[in-house]
Amino acid sequence: MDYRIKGQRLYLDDAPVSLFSGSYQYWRIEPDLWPRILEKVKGMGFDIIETYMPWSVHEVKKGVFDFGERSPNLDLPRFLGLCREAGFKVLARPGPHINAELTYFGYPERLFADADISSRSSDGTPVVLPVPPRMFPVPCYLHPRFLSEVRTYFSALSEATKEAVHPKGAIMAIQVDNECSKFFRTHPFDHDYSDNSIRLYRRFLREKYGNLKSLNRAYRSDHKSWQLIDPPRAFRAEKASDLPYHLDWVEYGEYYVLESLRLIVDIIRDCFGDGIPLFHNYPTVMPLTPLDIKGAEEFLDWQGVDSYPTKRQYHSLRRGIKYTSTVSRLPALMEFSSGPINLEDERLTTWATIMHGIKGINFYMIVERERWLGSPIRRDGSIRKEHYDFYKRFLSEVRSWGLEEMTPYRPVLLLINREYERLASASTLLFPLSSLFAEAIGSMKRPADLFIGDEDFGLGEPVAARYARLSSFWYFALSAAGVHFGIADDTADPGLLRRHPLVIMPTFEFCDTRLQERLLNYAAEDGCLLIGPRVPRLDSEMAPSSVLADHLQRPSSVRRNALVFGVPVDEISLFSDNGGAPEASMLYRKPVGRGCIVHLSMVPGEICDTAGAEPFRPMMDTLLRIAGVEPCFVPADHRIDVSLFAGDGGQMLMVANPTEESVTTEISRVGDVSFRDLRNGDNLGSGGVIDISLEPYTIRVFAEV
Amino acid sequence: MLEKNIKIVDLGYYGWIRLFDLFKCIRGPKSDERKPGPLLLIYRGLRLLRALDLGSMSPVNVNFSGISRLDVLSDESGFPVVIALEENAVARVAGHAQKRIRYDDDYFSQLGTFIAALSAEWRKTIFTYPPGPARIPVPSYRLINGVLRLLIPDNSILLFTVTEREVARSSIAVGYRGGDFWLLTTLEAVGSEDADLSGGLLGEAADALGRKFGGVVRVVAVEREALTNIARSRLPAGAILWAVNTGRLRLLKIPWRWKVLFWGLIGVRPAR
Repeated sequence: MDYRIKGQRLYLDDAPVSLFSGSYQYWRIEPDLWPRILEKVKGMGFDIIETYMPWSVHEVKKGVFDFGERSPNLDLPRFLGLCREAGFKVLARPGPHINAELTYFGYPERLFADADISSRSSDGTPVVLPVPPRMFPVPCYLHPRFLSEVRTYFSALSEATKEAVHPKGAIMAIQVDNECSKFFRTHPFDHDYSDNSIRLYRRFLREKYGNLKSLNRAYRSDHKSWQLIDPPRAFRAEKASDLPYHLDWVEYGEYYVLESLRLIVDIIRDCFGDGIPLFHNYPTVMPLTPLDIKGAEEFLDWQGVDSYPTKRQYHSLRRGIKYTSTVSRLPALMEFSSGPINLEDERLTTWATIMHGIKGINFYMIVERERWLGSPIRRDGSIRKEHYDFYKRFLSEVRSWGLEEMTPYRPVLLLINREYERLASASTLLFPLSSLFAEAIGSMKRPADLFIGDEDFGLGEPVAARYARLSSFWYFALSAAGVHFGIADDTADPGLLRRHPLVIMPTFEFCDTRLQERLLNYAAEDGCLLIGPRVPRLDSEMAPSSVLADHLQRPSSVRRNALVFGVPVDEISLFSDNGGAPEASMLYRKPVGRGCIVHLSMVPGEICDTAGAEPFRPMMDTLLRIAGVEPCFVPADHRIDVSLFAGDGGQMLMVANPTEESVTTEISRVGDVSFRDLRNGDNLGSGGVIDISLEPYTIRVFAEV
Repeated sequence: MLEKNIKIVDLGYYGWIRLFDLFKCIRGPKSDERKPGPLLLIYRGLRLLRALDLGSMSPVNVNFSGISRLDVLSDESGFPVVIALEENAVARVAGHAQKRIRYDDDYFSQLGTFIAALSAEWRKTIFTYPPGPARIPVPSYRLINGVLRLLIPDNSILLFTVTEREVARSSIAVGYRGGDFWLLTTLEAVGSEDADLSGGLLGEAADALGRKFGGVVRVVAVEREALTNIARSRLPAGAILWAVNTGRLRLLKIPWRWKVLFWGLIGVRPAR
């Protein structure tokens, strides 16, 4: 297959693919209705169908499969043929895990009789996924017998679909597994402690440290053999020197998920060949430890995310999309609500994803079926007109306005530190409930450290909890100030950093030395790096490291429970030598090479929304000025969200009101450009300030005239 | 009790959303006065790791002097209900359950395994104030199954619909056969979500449902306003009788055992 991904777009046979698809589960629909329903999907403007190909449904008995030979509703070759005839490409999702609201998530029930293949929790018991209508023990993807079973299914599936792969057939890409995330039980000390996993853990340590001497130095241990190293079964670190051993296990969780995916990739490549695009979807829009977009894209063509947000979760969605769209090669939502979520919510959230850089969406489910409700097309082929019209119009507008080709303008980059994320994940309270659980029950309106322990491990402060708060603070402070920013993590390569005149990363007492070097190089090459509240003086192994500290000051005094812009903060450190200013300051700028480092020592309190962060606008203006970033299209109302896009056809502006009130606001610094509302043709005029009105939970789209 | 391949189909959309909205309607307007929610304490030994007001999902500061002094903590903090969990309590409950759970057991039986696990940790790593029972009784699966079989005639579909001026506002139908709940659906399965259920049309809709899925459809249809009255009434039995007599609560093919149970529960003999 001739394909490539360039500029966050997929090209097939040199033609760009509009990566908007709808989920349609053929086996749950009467086969007689398949053509009629495909016609309806086409009528909405979709060119791609996404479907699972469930193992448990196609397997008649061990090693025997039905792809339509017995049951017409399992006639996958016919379904794929109909898709091709109707002008569709197909995203195939064969699993092995598919969920699809199927009992046992698409695994054949017989697999669970083999207790050996289960993932094991820290106490050695099989890890159970407590979902109705049957709880089941989750498999360990490293187990050879499990992989052998998967290979048998994929071999049969590839044989049944061999004529259906592009260019001969409709299948244009295959998804590897589904929401591979340790089955949502992501607390690092929950699982997997099976023998296969522990073997892999030792391999991970060997790869990371190379030799036992290096490992023993990091762990302050005296291990004589890799085989004798056992993983921690709970987070029992008491001092900083205990952290490397524990945090390595957390990092191993990322390695474990990637290895699980890689093993399935190998089987798919063996069965379907090398020439087909492969992708995967994480179950959260903010895939941090044990999930890793960049790591997955080392062997996958793209790594997508899933989300089912309500309109009230606007900022959770926005933050995640900003991250995914900055980090991923092809930012796509491989499952996005098209059903149980209220259509009113969907009008906002769907546009919000485009507004923040998503390039493709698979709407799940575009065709209703058993165990689902509220799709635009019912099981009998009739339509829910309001839903149907929404998608039709959405696709038409995205394409006709050229939004797929546009690039968001984001001069500022907020970096997530994966080491601190690992510490926060390990410190999640109520083990084994994970950060995914915390995310599910607490929106971003809750304190970010609600379920994070506040132990300091001798580092002088509770780093995990403060990091969580600080990340939340930066997100809302940048948002409230109307700054156009992206979010990435500390694996960002120098090229990505260089594209941003201002890079912000929270730092505490320890930080990986290579990361410090990368950040210093960025600053020296004409960048503006903002760090703080602490300057790292230790590396990941808690040994002295002063790459950044060599360039920066120690504070002259510390004030706890201070007020900054009238807002209580936990702490500020003051520096007396701040470029000749008469008074001590919590912020100073240090020239480095052709750029600079800005050290901001403030430890904020709980900031969980833009209202709380709004008083910090003057500080953000100062930071942008230091970095030489010109503020543009800044809304006067902190609740309003503005995105600016650039493309061949000029600039586009998207303005969102994610609140329940109608809002009229000014947007400043428009320059000489004039904008026109693409829906109603209203002209915004040009000049220094424009007025704009927005209904509750709406997004308006403007194009440069 | 729960069919492994339970059929969940034709749930409609607006009807289902309205069904959830009913809870708000029944509960009535929220009082402005904020009552402190249950207080969740997560602790390790004598160290309090986090105190959360579950009502507002926000952290609070309290003086924790160990799980034996939860009464004092409740008095001082003003939280009438306190739940204290040792930091690994959930893991221990999961561990107990995971040892015993079978993937092919009925879901309620699997849930029972978790309740037994909870019971095993009760007053070991899980404490409350007020203290609650000395031990958590684990309901017998066989007993519950037996009671259900006794209460629900085999091969029934239980249809509950809320109407507004006799037009279906939301509905839910549950199929019970061979001791298992095997079907979850709505009136959407046999017509539109906003079906006219006036006069004999309710019976016709029920018959259509019976023909489509098989079984006797036993119907409780209630006007939304009457449902609110019943839910908020200080004398629900009276409100039910009033609704039946005024035709705002319509019952079709209700088995005698339910009627007996109803009168038994309220302890009143039917008036002639």
